[in-house]
Amino acid sequence: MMRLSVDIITDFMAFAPHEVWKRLQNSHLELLGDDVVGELGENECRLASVEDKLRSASKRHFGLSVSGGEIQYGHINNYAHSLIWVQNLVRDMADADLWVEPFCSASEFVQAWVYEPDYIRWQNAEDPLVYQAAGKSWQGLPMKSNGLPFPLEQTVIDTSQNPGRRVLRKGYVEAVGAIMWLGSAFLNRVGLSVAELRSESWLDIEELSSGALKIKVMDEVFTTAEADQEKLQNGLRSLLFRSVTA
Amino acid sequence: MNRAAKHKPRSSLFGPLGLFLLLALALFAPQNRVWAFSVSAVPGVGSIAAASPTFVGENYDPFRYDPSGYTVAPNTTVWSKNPLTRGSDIESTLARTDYKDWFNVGQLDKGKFPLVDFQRGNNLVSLKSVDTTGSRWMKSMQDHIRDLGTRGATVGGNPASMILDLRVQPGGAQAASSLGEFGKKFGVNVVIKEFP
Repeated sequence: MMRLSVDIITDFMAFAPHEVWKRLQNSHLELLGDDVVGELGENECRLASVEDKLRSASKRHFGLSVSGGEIQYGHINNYAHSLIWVQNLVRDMADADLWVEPFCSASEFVQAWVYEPDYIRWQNAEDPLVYQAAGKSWQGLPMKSNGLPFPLEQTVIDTSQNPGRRVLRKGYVEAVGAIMWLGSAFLNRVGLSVAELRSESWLDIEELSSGALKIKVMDEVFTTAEADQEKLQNGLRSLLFRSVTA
Repeated sequence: MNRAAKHKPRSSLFGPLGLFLLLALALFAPQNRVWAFSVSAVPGVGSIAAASPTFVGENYDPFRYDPSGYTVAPNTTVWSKNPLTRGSDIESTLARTDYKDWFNVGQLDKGKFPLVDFQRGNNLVSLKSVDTTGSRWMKSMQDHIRDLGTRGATVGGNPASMILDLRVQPGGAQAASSLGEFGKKFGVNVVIKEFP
Protein backbone atom coordinates (compact mmCIF):
# COMPACT_ATOMS: atom_id res chain seq x y z
CA MET A 1 0.00 0.00 0.00
CA MET A 2 1.32 3.43 -0.94
CA ARG A 3 1.96 5.52 2.14
CA LEU A 4 1.43 9.24 2.13
CA SER A 5 3.78 12.05 3.07
CA VAL A 6 3.39 15.21 5.10
CA ASP A 7 5.37 18.46 4.88
CA ILE A 8 5.34 20.60 8.01
CA ILE A 9 6.76 24.12 7.70
CA THR A 10 7.85 26.09 10.74
CA ASP A 11 9.73 29.31 11.32
CA PHE A 12 13.45 29.03 10.68
CA MET A 13 15.13 26.82 13.30
CA ALA A 14 12.15 27.12 15.61
CA PHE A 15 12.73 23.66 17.05
CA ALA A 16 15.84 21.81 18.14
CA PRO A 17 16.26 18.47 16.35
CA HIS A 18 15.69 16.39 19.51
CA GLU A 19 12.52 18.37 20.19
CA VAL A 20 11.17 17.59 16.71
CA TRP A 21 12.02 13.94 17.19
CA LYS A 22 10.36 13.73 20.63
CA ARG A 23 7.16 15.29 19.33
CA LEU A 24 7.03 12.93 16.37
CA GLN A 25 7.87 9.87 18.44
CA ASN A 26 5.20 10.69 21.04
CA SER A 27 2.63 11.00 18.28
CA HIS A 28 3.45 7.51 16.94
CA LEU A 29 4.63 5.41 19.85
CA GLU A 30 4.15 2.14 18.02
CA LEU A 31 5.67 3.01 14.64
CA LEU A 32 8.53 4.92 16.29
CA GLY A 33 8.81 2.81 19.44
CA ASP A 34 12.04 2.67 21.44
CA ASP A 35 12.80 -0.89 20.31
CA VAL A 36 12.36 -0.17 16.61
CA VAL A 37 15.62 -0.06 14.69
CA GLY A 38 16.21 2.80 12.28
CA GLU A 39 19.09 4.55 10.58
CA LEU A 40 20.04 7.98 11.87
CA GLY A 41 22.15 9.49 9.13
CA GLU A 42 24.45 6.66 8.12
CA ASN A 43 24.27 4.78 11.42
CA GLU A 44 21.86 2.06 12.42
CA CYS A 45 20.46 2.49 15.91
CA ARG A 46 17.52 1.68 18.17
CA LEU A 47 15.11 4.59 18.26
CA ALA A 48 15.51 4.74 22.06
CA SER A 49 18.90 6.31 21.49
CA VAL A 50 17.86 8.91 18.90
CA GLU A 51 16.94 11.67 21.35
CA ASP A 52 20.31 11.53 23.11
CA LYS A 53 22.18 11.34 19.84
CA LEU A 54 20.36 14.42 18.54
CA ARG A 55 20.89 16.32 21.79
CA SER A 56 24.63 15.78 21.61
CA ALA A 57 24.98 16.26 17.86
CA SER A 58 26.52 19.48 16.61
CA LYS A 59 24.24 19.64 13.57
CA ARG A 60 20.84 21.27 13.75
CA HIS A 61 19.24 18.91 11.26
CA PHE A 62 18.82 15.18 10.80
CA GLY A 63 17.58 12.41 8.54
CA LEU A 64 16.15 9.19 9.92
CA SER A 65 15.13 6.14 7.91
CA VAL A 66 12.61 3.91 9.65
CA SER A 67 9.84 1.45 8.80
CA GLY A 68 10.19 1.93 5.05
CA GLY A 69 9.96 5.71 5.26
CA GLU A 70 12.02 8.70 6.26
CA ILE A 71 11.87 11.67 8.55
CA GLN A 72 13.91 14.64 7.42
CA TYR A 73 14.33 17.80 9.45
CA GLY A 74 16.24 20.66 7.87
CA HIS A 75 16.37 24.40 7.40
CA ILE A 76 16.09 26.60 4.38
CA ASN A 77 18.01 29.64 5.50
CA ASN A 78 17.59 31.65 2.31
CA TYR A 79 13.82 31.25 2.53
CA ALA A 80 13.56 31.70 6.31
CA HIS A 81 11.76 28.51 7.18
CA SER A 82 12.37 24.94 8.31
CA LEU A 83 10.93 21.70 7.01
CA ILE A 84 9.81 18.58 8.85
CA TRP A 85 9.32 16.05 6.07
CA VAL A 86 7.55 12.85 7.01
CA GLN A 87 8.07 10.72 3.95
CA ASN A 88 6.09 7.56 3.15
CA LEU A 89 5.08 7.01 6.77
CA VAL A 90 1.55 8.45 6.80
CA ARG A 91 -1.13 5.74 6.68
CA ASP A 92 -4.14 7.88 5.75
CA MET A 93 -5.76 11.29 6.23
CA ALA A 94 -6.60 10.61 9.88
CA ASP A 95 -3.01 9.62 10.55
CA ALA A 96 -1.82 12.85 8.91
CA ASP A 97 -3.60 14.72 11.73
CA LEU A 98 -1.50 12.85 14.28
CA TRP A 99 1.75 13.84 12.57
CA VAL A 100 0.82 17.51 12.31
CA GLU A 101 -0.88 18.04 15.69
CA PRO A 102 2.32 18.18 17.79
CA PHE A 103 3.44 21.24 15.86
CA CYS A 104 0.33 23.19 14.90
CA SER A 105 -0.25 24.56 18.41
CA ALA A 106 3.16 26.27 18.39
CA SER A 107 3.28 29.94 17.46
CA GLU A 108 6.19 29.07 15.10
CA PHE A 109 3.97 26.75 13.08
CA VAL A 110 3.45 28.01 9.54
CA GLN A 111 1.67 25.37 7.45
CA ALA A 112 1.39 21.67 6.69
CA TRP A 113 -0.20 19.51 4.03
CA VAL A 114 -0.57 15.85 3.18
CA TYR A 115 0.15 14.45 -0.27
CA GLU A 116 0.73 11.41 -2.40
CA PRO A 117 4.53 11.36 -2.85
CA ASP A 118 4.62 9.83 -6.31
CA TYR A 119 2.21 12.37 -7.77
CA ILE A 120 4.08 15.29 -6.26
CA ARG A 121 7.46 13.90 -7.36
CA TRP A 122 6.40 13.92 -11.02
CA GLN A 123 4.71 17.30 -10.72
CA ASN A 124 8.02 18.76 -9.56
CA ALA A 125 10.65 16.70 -11.40
CA GLU A 126 12.71 19.08 -13.56
CA ASP A 127 15.80 17.09 -14.43
CA PRO A 128 15.33 14.73 -17.43
CA LEU A 129 17.66 12.41 -15.51
CA VAL A 130 14.75 11.57 -13.17
CA TYR A 131 12.67 10.49 -16.16
CA GLN A 132 15.59 8.57 -17.60
CA ALA A 133 16.13 6.72 -14.31
CA ALA A 134 12.45 5.75 -14.17
CA GLY A 135 12.33 4.77 -17.86
CA LYS A 136 9.72 7.47 -18.57
CA SER A 137 9.64 9.75 -21.57
CA TRP A 138 9.72 13.52 -21.16
CA GLN A 139 9.02 14.14 -24.85
CA GLY A 140 6.35 16.77 -25.31
CA LEU A 141 6.82 18.33 -21.88
CA PRO A 142 7.60 22.05 -21.81
CA MET A 143 11.31 22.73 -21.40
CA LYS A 144 13.33 25.71 -20.21
CA SER A 145 16.85 26.60 -19.16
CA ASN A 146 17.68 26.12 -15.49
CA GLY A 147 19.07 29.66 -15.62
CA LEU A 148 22.49 28.75 -14.25
CA PRO A 149 25.80 29.78 -15.83
CA PHE A 150 28.32 27.39 -17.42
CA PRO A 151 29.16 24.65 -16.45
CA LEU A 152 25.84 24.19 -14.65
CA GLU A 153 23.35 25.26 -17.29
CA GLN A 154 20.91 22.57 -18.37
CA THR A 155 17.67 22.29 -20.22
CA VAL A 156 15.10 21.15 -17.70
CA ILE A 157 11.40 20.43 -17.62
CA ASP A 158 9.31 23.51 -16.95
CA THR A 159 7.04 22.68 -14.00
CA SER A 160 5.94 26.25 -13.41
CA GLN A 161 2.38 25.62 -14.60
CA ASN A 162 1.87 22.26 -12.91
CA PRO A 163 -1.04 22.25 -10.45
CA GLY A 164 1.02 20.24 -7.93
CA ARG A 165 4.15 22.40 -8.08
CA ARG A 166 6.03 23.30 -4.92
CA VAL A 167 7.79 26.67 -4.77
CA LEU A 168 9.90 28.02 -1.92
CA ARG A 169 8.88 31.45 -0.67
CA LYS A 170 10.24 33.65 2.08
CA GLY A 171 8.74 32.26 5.30
CA TYR A 172 6.50 29.63 3.70
CA VAL A 173 6.07 27.25 0.77
CA GLU A 174 3.73 27.76 -2.15
CA ALA A 175 2.08 24.35 -2.40
CA VAL A 176 -1.41 22.92 -2.11
CA GLY A 177 -2.87 19.77 -0.59
CA ALA A 178 -6.37 18.33 -0.39
CA ILE A 179 -6.02 18.82 3.36
CA MET A 180 -3.90 21.66 4.70
CA TRP A 181 -3.16 23.06 8.13
CA LEU A 182 -2.53 26.80 8.22
CA GLY A 183 -1.06 28.77 11.13
CA SER A 184 -1.55 32.46 11.76
CA ALA A 185 2.03 33.07 10.59
CA PHE A 186 1.07 31.67 7.19
CA LEU A 187 -2.05 33.83 6.89
CA ASN A 188 -0.04 36.92 7.77
CA ARG A 189 2.67 36.14 5.23
CA VAL A 190 0.29 35.56 2.32
CA GLY A 191 -2.00 38.41 3.38
CA LEU A 192 -5.14 36.36 4.00
CA SER A 193 -7.74 36.60 6.75
CA VAL A 194 -9.83 33.82 8.28
CA ALA A 195 -12.94 35.69 7.15
CA GLU A 196 -11.77 35.64 3.54
CA LEU A 197 -11.25 31.91 3.69
CA ARG A 198 -14.63 31.39 5.37
CA SER A 199 -16.33 33.19 2.52
CA GLU A 200 -15.24 30.45 0.11
CA SER A 201 -18.09 27.96 0.20
CA TRP A 202 -16.12 25.19 -1.54
CA LEU A 203 -13.67 25.00 1.36
CA ASP A 204 -14.34 22.90 4.42
CA ILE A 205 -12.75 24.89 7.24
CA GLU A 206 -12.19 23.77 10.79
CA GLU A 207 -10.68 25.98 13.47
CA LEU A 208 -8.55 23.74 15.66
CA SER A 209 -8.17 24.20 19.41
CA SER A 210 -4.53 25.01 18.71
CA GLY A 211 -5.66 28.11 16.81
CA ALA A 212 -4.56 26.74 13.43
CA LEU A 213 -7.00 26.28 10.57
CA LYS A 214 -7.57 22.96 8.88
CA ILE A 215 -8.93 23.30 5.37
CA LYS A 216 -10.17 20.47 3.22
CA VAL A 217 -11.20 20.40 -0.43
CA MET A 218 -11.29 16.61 -0.92
CA ASP A 219 -11.45 13.55 1.31
CA GLU A 220 -8.41 11.99 -0.36
CA VAL A 221 -5.07 13.36 -1.51
CA PHE A 222 -4.57 14.77 -4.99
CA THR A 223 -3.40 12.13 -7.42
CA THR A 224 -3.75 13.79 -10.79
CA ALA A 225 -3.37 17.14 -12.52
CA GLU A 226 -6.49 16.63 -14.60
CA ALA A 227 -10.24 17.28 -14.52
CA ASP A 228 -11.79 18.27 -11.16
CA GLN A 229 -8.55 17.79 -9.25
CA GLU A 230 -6.76 20.22 -11.54
CA LYS A 231 -9.46 22.84 -10.92
CA LEU A 232 -9.30 22.29 -7.17
CA GLN A 233 -5.52 22.60 -7.06
CA ASN A 234 -5.43 25.70 -9.24
CA GLY A 235 -8.33 27.26 -7.34
CA LEU A 236 -6.71 26.61 -3.98
CA ARG A 237 -3.38 27.98 -5.18
CA SER A 238 -4.85 31.19 -6.51
CA LEU A 239 -6.84 31.66 -3.30
CA LEU A 240 -3.97 31.03 -0.89
CA PHE A 241 -1.14 32.56 -2.89
CA ARG A 242 -2.82 35.22 -4.95
CA SER A 243 -0.34 37.81 -3.74
CA VAL A 244 2.55 35.89 -5.33
CA THR A 245 0.90 34.11 -8.24
CA ALA A 246 -0.95 37.12 -9.64
CA MET B 1 62.65 0.07 33.85
CA ASN B 2 66.11 0.68 32.41
CA ARG B 3 67.74 -0.99 35.34
CA ALA B 4 65.54 -4.03 34.93
CA ALA B 5 66.37 -4.19 31.22
CA LYS B 6 70.08 -4.03 31.93
CA HIS B 7 69.89 -7.01 34.20
CA LYS B 8 67.74 -9.09 31.93
CA PRO B 9 69.34 -12.55 31.54
CA ARG B 10 70.98 -13.01 28.16
CA SER B 11 69.41 -15.43 25.78
CA SER B 12 71.46 -18.56 25.26
CA LEU B 13 71.19 -17.82 21.50
CA PHE B 14 73.84 -15.17 21.97
CA GLY B 15 76.23 -17.50 23.66
CA PRO B 16 79.16 -18.98 21.73
CA LEU B 17 77.02 -21.82 20.37
CA GLY B 18 74.28 -19.39 19.18
CA LEU B 19 76.79 -17.23 17.37
CA PHE B 20 78.22 -20.29 15.65
CA LEU B 21 74.77 -21.37 14.47
CA LEU B 22 73.95 -17.93 13.09
CA LEU B 23 77.26 -17.80 11.22
CA ALA B 24 76.63 -21.24 9.75
CA LEU B 25 73.14 -20.26 8.63
CA ALA B 26 74.42 -17.12 6.95
CA LEU B 27 77.14 -19.01 5.08
CA PHE B 28 75.14 -22.05 3.92
CA ALA B 29 71.64 -20.69 3.29
CA PRO B 30 70.70 -21.07 -0.43
CA GLN B 31 70.13 -17.35 -0.96
CA ASN B 32 70.00 -14.12 0.97
CA ARG B 33 66.47 -12.92 1.59
CA VAL B 34 64.32 -11.04 4.03
CA TRP B 35 62.27 -13.82 5.45
CA ALA B 36 58.96 -12.03 5.66
CA PHE B 37 58.82 -10.80 2.04
CA SER B 38 59.75 -12.10 -1.33
CA VAL B 39 61.06 -8.79 -2.64
CA SER B 40 64.42 -7.38 -1.88
CA ALA B 41 63.91 -3.71 -2.60
CA VAL B 42 61.35 -1.04 -1.92
CA PRO B 43 59.64 -0.08 -5.18
CA GLY B 44 61.32 2.96 -6.62
CA VAL B 45 59.83 5.81 -8.52
CA GLY B 46 59.06 4.78 -12.06
CA SER B 47 59.80 1.11 -11.61
CA ILE B 48 58.23 -1.93 -10.11
CA ALA B 49 60.56 -3.91 -7.96
CA ALA B 50 61.07 -7.59 -8.54
CA ALA B 51 57.96 -8.96 -6.99
CA SER B 52 55.80 -11.88 -7.89
CA PRO B 53 52.25 -11.06 -9.03
CA THR B 54 51.03 -13.03 -6.03
CA PHE B 55 52.93 -10.78 -3.71
CA VAL B 56 51.51 -7.65 -5.26
CA GLY B 57 48.02 -9.08 -5.21
CA GLU B 58 48.23 -9.95 -1.56
CA ASN B 59 49.67 -6.74 -0.31
CA TYR B 60 48.67 -3.96 -2.68
CA ASP B 61 45.63 -3.15 -4.66
CA PRO B 62 47.28 -3.33 -8.10
CA PHE B 63 45.07 -0.51 -9.35
CA ARG B 64 46.41 1.72 -6.61
CA TYR B 65 50.07 1.12 -7.34
CA ASP B 66 51.73 4.17 -8.73
CA PRO B 67 55.04 3.82 -10.52
CA SER B 68 55.44 7.58 -10.66
CA GLY B 69 55.67 7.86 -6.91
CA TYR B 70 52.03 8.84 -6.31
CA THR B 71 49.41 6.46 -5.05
CA VAL B 72 47.71 5.84 -8.37
CA ALA B 73 49.12 4.97 -11.74
CA PRO B 74 48.65 7.62 -14.44
CA ASN B 75 46.62 5.33 -16.63
CA THR B 76 44.03 4.48 -13.98
CA THR B 77 40.90 6.65 -13.75
CA VAL B 78 40.28 9.18 -11.04
CA TRP B 79 37.49 6.90 -9.77
CA SER B 80 39.95 4.29 -8.54
CA LYS B 81 41.48 6.76 -6.10
CA ASN B 82 40.44 7.10 -2.49
CA PRO B 83 37.57 9.60 -2.03
CA LEU B 84 39.72 12.41 -0.59
CA THR B 85 42.33 12.26 -3.33
CA ARG B 86 39.62 11.85 -5.95
CA GLY B 87 37.67 14.88 -4.69
CA SER B 88 40.76 17.00 -4.58
CA ASP B 89 41.88 15.89 -8.07
CA ILE B 90 38.45 16.53 -9.59
CA GLU B 91 38.23 19.92 -7.93
CA SER B 92 41.62 21.01 -9.21
CA THR B 93 40.85 19.71 -12.70
CA LEU B 94 37.53 21.55 -12.81
CA ALA B 95 39.06 24.69 -11.28
CA ARG B 96 41.38 24.79 -14.33
CA THR B 97 38.66 23.97 -16.85
CA ASP B 98 34.89 24.26 -16.19
CA TYR B 99 35.29 26.71 -13.31
CA LYS B 100 38.24 28.69 -14.63
CA ASP B 101 36.12 31.86 -14.75
CA TRP B 102 34.72 31.35 -11.25
CA PHE B 103 36.27 32.41 -7.98
CA ASN B 104 37.73 29.36 -6.28
CA VAL B 105 36.44 29.82 -2.74
CA GLY B 106 37.63 26.33 -1.88
CA GLN B 107 41.25 27.47 -2.02
CA LEU B 108 40.71 29.83 0.92
CA ASP B 109 41.65 28.79 4.42
CA LYS B 110 44.28 26.34 3.12
CA GLY B 111 41.70 24.54 1.02
CA LYS B 112 39.40 23.94 3.97
CA PHE B 113 36.84 26.66 3.43
CA PRO B 114 33.57 25.13 4.59
CA LEU B 115 30.93 23.85 2.16
CA VAL B 116 31.35 26.19 -0.80
CA ASP B 117 34.00 25.68 -3.52
CA PHE B 118 33.22 28.17 -6.30
CA GLN B 119 31.42 31.49 -6.56
CA ARG B 120 30.28 33.50 -9.50
CA GLY B 121 27.83 36.35 -9.10
CA ASN B 122 24.97 35.13 -7.00
CA ASN B 123 25.84 31.47 -7.43
CA LEU B 124 27.65 29.49 -4.75
CA VAL B 125 28.71 26.00 -5.75
CA SER B 126 29.64 23.09 -3.57
CA LEU B 127 31.44 20.51 -5.68
CA LYS B 128 31.26 16.87 -4.61
CA SER B 129 32.29 13.64 -6.26
CA VAL B 130 30.55 10.38 -5.50
CA ASP B 131 30.94 6.82 -6.70
CA THR B 132 27.31 5.79 -6.82
CA THR B 133 28.15 2.09 -6.76
CA GLY B 134 28.88 2.48 -3.04
CA SER B 135 26.28 2.10 -0.31
CA ARG B 136 26.46 5.07 2.04
CA TRP B 137 26.84 7.99 -0.32
CA MET B 138 23.12 8.83 -0.55
CA LYS B 139 22.76 9.56 3.18
CA SER B 140 25.97 11.49 3.14
CA MET B 141 24.82 13.66 0.21
CA GLN B 142 21.44 14.25 1.87
CA ASP B 143 23.30 15.42 4.96
CA HIS B 144 25.44 17.71 2.85
CA ILE B 145 22.36 19.19 1.16
CA ARG B 146 20.76 19.86 4.55
CA ASP B 147 24.04 21.51 5.59
CA LEU B 148 23.96 23.76 2.53
CA GLY B 149 20.31 24.68 3.08
CA THR B 150 20.93 25.42 6.74
CA ARG B 151 23.98 27.53 6.07
CA GLY B 152 22.45 29.60 3.27
CA ALA B 153 24.37 32.69 2.23
CA THR B 154 23.92 36.13 0.85
CA VAL B 155 25.91 37.76 -1.92
CA GLY B 156 25.73 41.55 -1.86
CA GLY B 157 22.84 41.36 0.58
CA ASN B 158 20.73 39.07 -1.63
CA PRO B 159 20.10 35.39 -0.94
CA ALA B 160 22.63 33.35 -2.90
CA SER B 161 21.69 30.52 -5.19
CA MET B 162 23.00 27.42 -3.41
CA ILE B 163 24.14 24.77 -5.86
CA LEU B 164 25.49 21.28 -5.42
CA ASP B 165 27.55 20.20 -8.44
CA LEU B 166 27.69 16.44 -8.06
CA ARG B 167 30.16 14.58 -10.25
CA VAL B 168 29.66 10.85 -10.49
CA GLN B 169 31.46 8.05 -12.28
CA PRO B 170 30.57 7.35 -15.93
CA GLY B 171 27.19 5.62 -16.04
CA GLY B 172 26.38 6.52 -12.43
CA ALA B 173 24.19 9.61 -12.80
CA GLN B 174 20.77 7.99 -12.74
CA ALA B 175 21.39 6.46 -9.32
CA ALA B 176 21.73 9.98 -7.91
CA SER B 177 18.70 11.48 -9.66
CA SER B 178 16.48 11.57 -6.54
CA LEU B 179 18.82 14.13 -5.00
CA GLY B 180 17.34 16.76 -7.30
CA GLU B 181 13.95 16.57 -5.57
CA PHE B 182 15.63 16.39 -2.18
CA GLY B 183 17.73 19.46 -2.91
CA LYS B 184 14.77 21.51 -4.12
CA LYS B 185 13.00 21.02 -0.82
CA PHE B 186 15.99 22.37 1.06
CA GLY B 187 16.65 25.26 -1.32
CA VAL B 188 19.64 23.65 -3.03
CA ASN B 189 19.85 23.27 -6.79
CA VAL B 190 21.46 19.89 -7.49
CA VAL B 191 23.20 19.41 -10.84
CA ILE B 192 24.37 15.86 -11.51
CA LYS B 193 27.02 15.14 -14.14
CA GLU B 194 29.29 12.29 -15.02
CA PHE B 195 33.04 12.86 -14.80
CA PRO B 196 34.98 12.99 -17.00
